[in-house]
Amino acid sequence: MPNLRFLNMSANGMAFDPETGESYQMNGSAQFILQSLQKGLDSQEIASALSLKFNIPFEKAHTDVLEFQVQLEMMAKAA
Amino acid sequence: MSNDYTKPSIVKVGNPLYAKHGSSAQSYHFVRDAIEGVKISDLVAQYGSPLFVFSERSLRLKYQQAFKAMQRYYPNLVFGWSYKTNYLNGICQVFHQEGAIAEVVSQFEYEKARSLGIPGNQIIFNGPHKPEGILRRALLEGAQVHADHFYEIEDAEKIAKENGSPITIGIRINLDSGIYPLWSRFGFNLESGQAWAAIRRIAESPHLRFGGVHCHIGTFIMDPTAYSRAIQKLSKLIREAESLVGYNIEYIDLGGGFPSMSQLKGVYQPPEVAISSVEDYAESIGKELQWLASRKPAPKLCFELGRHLVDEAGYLITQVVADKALPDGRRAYVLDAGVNLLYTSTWYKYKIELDRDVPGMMEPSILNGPLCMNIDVVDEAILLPRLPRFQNLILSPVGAYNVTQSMQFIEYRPNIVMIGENKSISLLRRKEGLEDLNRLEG
Ligand SMILES: Cc1ncc(COP(=O)(O)O)c(C=O)c1O
Repeated sequence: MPNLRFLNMSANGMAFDPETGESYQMNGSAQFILQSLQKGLDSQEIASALSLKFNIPFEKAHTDVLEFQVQLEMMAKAA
Repeated sequence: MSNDYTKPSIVKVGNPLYAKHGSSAQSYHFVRDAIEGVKISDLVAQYGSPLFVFSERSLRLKYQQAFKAMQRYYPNLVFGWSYKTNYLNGICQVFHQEGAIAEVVSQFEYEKARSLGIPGNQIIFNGPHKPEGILRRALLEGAQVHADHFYEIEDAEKIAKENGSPITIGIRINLDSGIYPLWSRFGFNLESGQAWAAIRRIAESPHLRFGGVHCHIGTFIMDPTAYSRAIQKLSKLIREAESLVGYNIEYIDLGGGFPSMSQLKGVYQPPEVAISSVEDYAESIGKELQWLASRKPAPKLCFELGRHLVDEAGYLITQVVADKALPDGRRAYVLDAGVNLLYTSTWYKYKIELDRDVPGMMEPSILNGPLCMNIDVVDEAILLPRLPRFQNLILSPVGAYNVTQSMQFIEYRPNIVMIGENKSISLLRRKEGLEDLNRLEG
């Protein structure tokens, strides 16, 4: 099954999935989370980093990271 | 919170919505921060969300434009305000001030018009259900009544007989003007001879007098020439009727049906291209009616325009309650207003504006209402930047039929305001509360 965590990302937020041939566009916070996932960080660690980088409360960042991970899974299934 | 943070967003390239809109544009172009100079945020702060907002200026302007356009072709012109389209007292009063009489289609609407001080002889009474009590009142008060079926002619005859003097009555006619769908269930059919039979029935009664013909061919008629075709058929019938009864008819009533500047689902041209101007309608109609316009005196020409006059004056402000990603790749928003308040969402794709510039990548999105029902969809395919909670959206045009056909289902119906001249705001109807609903249950 394809896994969007291993997308090839370019600097402008475009990502390509070599397995399916699909392309995706991401905004800044999505790129940040995906890159962190690719580095092997867990969701709590990513939320802390996101909260620091964008100056947002940790609780908000944590929700966003978890929600985004689910969206990645959904997109992988739909691909 | 940092200004440059937007929640994470990922979209698959190649979504058909992008193809339709030409790009994965980076900003949403439809921004409106005020209605008639009053800030959306101030309206919401004062009256809450959702909120219907009407522009008095737009109501008056549309009325005057349509009346002027028709007046160029016809001298004895009467506009009846189609109550069912929006019978908020404040809206009816604006049209009455502009000179409209009332066009009603039920006992409730007749009583509403009378309670607003409109005398019976300034009311056009249509509709398939006129219980005898209200029919008697209307006929005796001199209303312009259009019989919808033979029983109503009999009822009118009985009332006239009891009253001891003849009563004038007209008939509603349906005909094939080349438009689809054909509204054949109201009034008497022309092509089959039913309308002629109704006229004979009236003419041959010693208690009745034939007043004229009414024909509302349908709604959102995008082809002005449909009216020309209808008038050609009606003209022939009028000539025959006049020679049967031996006097000239008092009026011809062409109903409503002019469209508003709305995007219909399935029509791909924007309304500015797809919809003809009111002057085009006036021309199509006026040319066919020259033979009556030149009479001295000309019979009354009545119109009962509804959505054309009120739709564009109405806006609905609604807020984002929540959002989530759907497995199909769309973002689903929950709004605090849905099909409970937006009856016309079945046919219209509304213009959707935000009250500020929201930055961010466009996502294919679906707008759902607050009902716990799967059918509660306001827009099933729209590209939007990621909207935060409580973001205000402004939907338009929503002035026609949505207030009168809104449902009290699960939610309270909201405040309705009108912005008048000098940005003054009047509350046309306050929000419902539990006590309003419980009162009816005793
Ligand atoms: C008898 C009659 N007159 C007028 C109208 C107003 O129609 P519209 O809103 O299409 O102008 C209607 C609407 O159904 C109607 O039934």
